[in-house]
Amino acid sequence: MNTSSRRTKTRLGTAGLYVLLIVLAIVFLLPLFWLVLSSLKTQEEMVNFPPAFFPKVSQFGNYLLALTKIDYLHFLLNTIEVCLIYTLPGILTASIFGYAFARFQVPGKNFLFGIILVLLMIPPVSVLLPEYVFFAKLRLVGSYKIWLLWGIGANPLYIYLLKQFFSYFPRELEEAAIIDGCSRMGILFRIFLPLSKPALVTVFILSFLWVYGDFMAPVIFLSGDNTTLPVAMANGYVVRNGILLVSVLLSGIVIYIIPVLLIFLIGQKYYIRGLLSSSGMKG
Amino acid sequence: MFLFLNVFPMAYGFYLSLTRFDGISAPQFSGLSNYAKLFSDYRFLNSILSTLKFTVLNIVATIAVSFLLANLLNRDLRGKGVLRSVFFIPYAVPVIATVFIWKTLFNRESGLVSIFLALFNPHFVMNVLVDLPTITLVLMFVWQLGSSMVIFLAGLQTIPKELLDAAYVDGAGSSFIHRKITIPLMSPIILYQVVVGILLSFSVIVQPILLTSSPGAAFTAFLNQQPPFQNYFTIIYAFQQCFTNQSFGYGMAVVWLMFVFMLVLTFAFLRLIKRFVYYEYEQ
Repeated sequence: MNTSSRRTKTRLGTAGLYVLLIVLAIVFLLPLFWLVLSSLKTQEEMVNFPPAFFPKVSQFGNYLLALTKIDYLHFLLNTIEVCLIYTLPGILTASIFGYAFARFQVPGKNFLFGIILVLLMIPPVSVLLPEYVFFAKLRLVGSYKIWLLWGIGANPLYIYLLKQFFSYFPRELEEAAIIDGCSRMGILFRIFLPLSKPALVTVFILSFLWVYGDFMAPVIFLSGDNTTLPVAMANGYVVRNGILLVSVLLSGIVIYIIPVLLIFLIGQKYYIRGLLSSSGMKG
Repeated sequence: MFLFLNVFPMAYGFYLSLTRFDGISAPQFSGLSNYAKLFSDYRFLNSILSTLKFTVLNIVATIAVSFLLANLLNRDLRGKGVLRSVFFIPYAVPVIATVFIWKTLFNRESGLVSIFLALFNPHFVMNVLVDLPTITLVLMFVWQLGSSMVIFLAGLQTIPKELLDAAYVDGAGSSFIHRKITIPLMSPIILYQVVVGILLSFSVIVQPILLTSSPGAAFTAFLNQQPPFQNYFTIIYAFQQCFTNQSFGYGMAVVWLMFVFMLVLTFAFLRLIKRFVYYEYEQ
């Protein structure tokens, strides 16, 4: 094969690759596009056969109805409250645990760390069952204190993530601080944490988005006015005779996922870093 | 505190699995009878079978597609970053949104899939959601392959370029390069993905329930919904035993036996695959 034919072959290959990738990209974006289109259709268009691709007249009223049919703002605030109740103490305890695992030499440390790795292998949903019995006994069902407890209990994944990050700090840094009279906690709060902004942002994004999207825990532990947006939406858009207002529900979902997608796009770098270091690769 | 909140619930769950417990009165110790009963409980055994089927399909499909995508993206292309974001973004969509997007996509009357099917054969009407429930579910997870694609992509970038160039100069074709270089070098990552895939597939609960529950049937009775038997997974059975059937002891036994099953599955897989996995720093 001579050089020029090889070059044309590569160029054709690149063009083909682009076409393939763009087709795949369209396939991946179609569901989101379809969500927006469907949210603009009328209830009749949603059940008619044969289906139409575009809505005849865009029903922006669906969005207004989505915000007023259920107390959207109230449930959104609930959701954000739960997210913060979990995330903020969670970051604090995860960094303390992470610091302890990265630096303290105490007997049984490896055993404890082993437990963390085992915990990473347990499906999180299944833990909800014994926890339900347990929280019911403490009369906590229906209250956001459960999320506070979960936050304080620290997610094993976040401990692991921060521990990995802290391990890369040079020891001289701490030694110098200790000579200057800094306490152990002081080292964590004055030196480690300010230096770990990227890792903290990663943990923040991961845990915030996790609680924001979680459906199972609020279904089990919360009810009525107390619950979070996903549950309220799944329950709320029904008219009296039990018919689901599909396109209104979809409008609600569009509003619900916009902040997620924004956070995700802006913080993509951090998110990917979190994923990679949880898989054991340096992020 | 950490142990208390993370390990205690599981241990407590194990204790409960040895009892008869309705969630209200005091648990009565009953030894291993719950476990003995499970082995002749056909609904449990069927659920294990369905979960296993879904797990295999899900893992194979997700890994294959994300490996392919990662390979396509791991080249000098303009707009690579944008494309990567496009494939990554579905991963961020919260579970409730994904489920309703999927319901609308696969809706028999108004779904996009119906439009496509009608293009090929206008008389062919198929309710994919009902007739192929597992496939629908798997497609949903393939759509959300972002994390595994990103991990593969990071892994591919660690392959030294000289290695590929050398093989190329020696006249190796791309299929040869894949078989002999890329896949062996990626094997630890594939292994990781499979192990995580087992974990994730066994925790799938919200999607199968919401996908097939009839619209309007109030989701307050969320856990009473019966997904089609192909998607009736073990974890759903555990939750229904606990909440619908009020037998927490039995439900916990289901969860624990599921763990054992997952462990066996994971180790069996590790044993089987050990010979094929390439580690750079072998002792």
